[in-house]
Amino acid sequence: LTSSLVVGPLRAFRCWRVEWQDGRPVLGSLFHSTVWPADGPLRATCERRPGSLASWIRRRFSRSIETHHPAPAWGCECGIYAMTRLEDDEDLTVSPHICQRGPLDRVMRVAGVAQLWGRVVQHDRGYRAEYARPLRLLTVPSLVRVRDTEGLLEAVARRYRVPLVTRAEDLSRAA
Amino acid sequence: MNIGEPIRELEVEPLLEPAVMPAAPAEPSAAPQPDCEPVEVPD
Repeated sequence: LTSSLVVGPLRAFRCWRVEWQDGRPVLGSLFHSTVWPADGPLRATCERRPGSLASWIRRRFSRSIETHHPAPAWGCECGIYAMTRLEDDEDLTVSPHICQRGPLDRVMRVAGVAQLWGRVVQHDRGYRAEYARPLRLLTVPSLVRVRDTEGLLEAVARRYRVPLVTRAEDLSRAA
Repeated sequence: MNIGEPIRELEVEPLLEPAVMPAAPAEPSAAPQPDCEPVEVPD
């Protein structure tokens, strides 16, 4: 498998968890505990646990993947995910909003655009990247539902030095 | 997040820091320059 060289970072859509953590506003992964750094890019690592059942099944049926490898790897699921377009239109009309991540786990979710670079695996609807940083976040003021949401988003935008845009079209233009 | 099936691998160039603009060359002085005198070189 050969890789193609692409000039300049890619831009793609994704959603983040947004919350106060130890008094600081943070952007985090929706499905992992990963917190995106504010002072530099996030670098992907493979979080497969060698002892897990899922890992054993993958090793059993995919001999080409080493247990420890740089992320993202072809044939693995690791890397920083982003999409060429947001799958759920609600993400563009209601952002931020509260979503139910588990039976007792509600998180505030915000849509935005990220820059991606380094080693990248291109998929037919998105990417898995080695490096990423947030570029723009979408807030739709008329649909804010949670108290102090605006304050949290403004604090996140200041800390990560990204603009907040109020129209989905402005977000799309950045992608 | 469903991103579909993998297609190909890419190497994407990293972000470039904003280039530092070199200092502009100094404007030639508008003041009249003294005439050059030929310098005698001793043998």
